[in-house]
Amino acid sequence: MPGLITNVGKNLMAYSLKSTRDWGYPTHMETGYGTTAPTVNDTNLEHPNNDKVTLTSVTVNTTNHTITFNASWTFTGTTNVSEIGLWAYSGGTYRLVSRETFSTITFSAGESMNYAITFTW
Amino acid sequence: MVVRNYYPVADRTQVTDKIPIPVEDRELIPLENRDYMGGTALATVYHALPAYSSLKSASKIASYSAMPSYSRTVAQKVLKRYCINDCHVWHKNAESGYNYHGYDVPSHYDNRIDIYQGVYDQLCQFDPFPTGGTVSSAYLYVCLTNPIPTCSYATQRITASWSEYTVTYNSIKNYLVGPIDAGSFGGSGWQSISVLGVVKDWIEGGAAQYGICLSGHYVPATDPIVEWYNRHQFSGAYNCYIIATINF
Repeated sequence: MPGLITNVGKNLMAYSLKSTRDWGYPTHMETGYGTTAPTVNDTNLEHPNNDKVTLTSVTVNTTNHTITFNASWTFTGTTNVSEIGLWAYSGGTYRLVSRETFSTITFSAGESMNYAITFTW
Repeated sequence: MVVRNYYPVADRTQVTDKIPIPVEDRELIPLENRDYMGGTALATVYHALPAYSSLKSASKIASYSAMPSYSRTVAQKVLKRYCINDCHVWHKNAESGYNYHGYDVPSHYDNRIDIYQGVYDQLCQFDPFPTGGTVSSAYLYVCLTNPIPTCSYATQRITASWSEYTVTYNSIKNYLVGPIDAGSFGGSGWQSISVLGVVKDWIEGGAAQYGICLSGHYVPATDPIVEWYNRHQFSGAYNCYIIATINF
């Protein structure tokens, strides 16, 4: 189940230290059914399900130096999920901050998925 | 005693001061290393400068680099399965071989002692759950027909197929495993009880999914009857169901 922060994500974090925060911050998560392992050069999911959802919550742990991004989906039809992308949206542009692939999970209509991604310093 | 560092004339570019030569040091300063001003012999004095190496190490502070590591902390599937087969059975000897269909009488269990110790058990079978993953929670939701005080419950897992139109206590009693889950609940309307153990057996253990028995055998004798709408009443509007959360 490989997952990583993309080069875009690294650049976004660099920008976050600038007063203008040019690239914004992570705001959405999306599922997909691609299975190719992620690389730092990824700028999109391999096969996105086009179901970007706004993050339900973002929590910072100042003791463990972590930030956790949470999202939930309720699927309206049979959906295969084998990749997850964390997106930042700013200035009309989505930027892929991280991508992860894993064994396919199949959801039926009405079933839900909760997902959390953590960055640790 | 004052210790001074006198420098040779050749290194004057590095000196920092010139002082009259103290009487006690006159023998230490060669004539060629002396200067004279108004007839007074002067010597150059060296003061040590900060070492360059310390400045160099200070510059290393800027060489910071740390990127966060990525990890997935939660990947959960939340699913709902409705009851597809339900019936209550009686323990009482005269009725233990009788099928009660269950389509016109609310689902219920009890352990009342005023009639017979543990008269009713309730059987419920659900749409099949997938296998795989780790179950983190599983709750059975029932819509109570009447408010109840806090009541105990216990679950057993059914290990053989059955039909609500034919099942009896005598036909099912040898196909019950447990108790597995136990707890208490109360209130009115929709209420939930944990059935984690049974659902774990199905999803993680691969046990055949023949349903759950809410058994009166294991609840305190003082609990009243607990009734909820069965899957046939009101066209199934209050059909009970299980919501399970599975971690991957």
